Amino acid sequence: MKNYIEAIERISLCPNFEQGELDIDSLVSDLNLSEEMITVLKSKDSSQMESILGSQHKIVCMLVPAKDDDDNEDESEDDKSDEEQSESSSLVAVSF
Amino acid sequence: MTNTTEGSLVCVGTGIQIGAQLTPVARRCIEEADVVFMSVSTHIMEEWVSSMNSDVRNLQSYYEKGLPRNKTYKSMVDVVVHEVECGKKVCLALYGHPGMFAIVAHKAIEKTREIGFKARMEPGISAEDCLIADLGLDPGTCGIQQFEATQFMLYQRLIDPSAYLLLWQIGVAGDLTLTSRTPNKKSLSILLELLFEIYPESHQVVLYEARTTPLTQSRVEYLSLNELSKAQLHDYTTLVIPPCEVMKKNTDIEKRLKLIFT
Repeated sequence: MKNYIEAIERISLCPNFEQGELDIDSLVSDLNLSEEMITVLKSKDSSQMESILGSQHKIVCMLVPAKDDDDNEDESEDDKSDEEQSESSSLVAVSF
Repeated sequence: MTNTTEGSLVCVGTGIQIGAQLTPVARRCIEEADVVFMSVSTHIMEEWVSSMNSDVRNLQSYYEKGLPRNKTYKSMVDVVVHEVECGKKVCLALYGHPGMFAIVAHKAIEKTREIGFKARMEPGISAEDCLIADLGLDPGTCGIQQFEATQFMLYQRLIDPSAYLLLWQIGVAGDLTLTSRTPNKKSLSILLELLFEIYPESHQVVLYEARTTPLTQSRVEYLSLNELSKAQLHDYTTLVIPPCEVMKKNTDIEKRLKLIFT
């Protein structure tokens, strides 16, 4: 996996990869990549790369759309029972 | 007052595309940290970040199925700040720009400073930066307004139809439970109702997803607004709505300015 990452990183840093002007063989010759991976890189087969390296999107959401009127109220939720927390989880106000 | 122990926090961004958009200073921060917490977009990017430091901890496991994301974010902040309190030099590495739609970084910095430790953020390359490059937009031309899609729906915003409008996380627009990763047709139709108050149904818009590896292409899909409900949407899809009106000059202000500068 480490060598695959290194190959992707090297290709990422080559602006002419898009134009097909990159000699993939020489760029990754020292990395001992499998024939399958080299073929994937040459053909820019992203779906095959996904299956080999796992480049499917993970959850990256990291914001909340609305704010509580009172942040302290939310803080006090830490002391609630699981049941109460479950009820409050569908509230519109979602800041912490 | 700054705490006398060595603990500190720096928040960095990995950029969107693996290998290409990590700034030199961000890489240095990751390499030199005692512990790195990461939340990035793909497994391959996780492996990439992990290759830069021997103690990289993945925050992805905090996204428990069914757990509201605000609870998830709070847990993430707590675990990051705890390591700072233990005297560690902590790096929080997030996908894109660490401060762009990333409440965890902002909260972690705030909390770290509150308890007397040093905390800072290094800028990174965000999805917005990629969008500007891929679509050839210039915020200086007619302006860009941008909102998280659900927030856009929940609050009464004043939208300028002569500027671009970007709606982030369009694929989870209207999800008040903060648990979904897939679109809800009913909430999407409410969003469309709101947009049709401003834009014609036939208005051309763009669905955008920045590419994450050099082997993939960014998604730049043109469609009309009324086709949105049939489109494939993800939680990382951005809706780009170009202006539907030309900018109107404020002639009164222009006259007053001319009096000053002529």
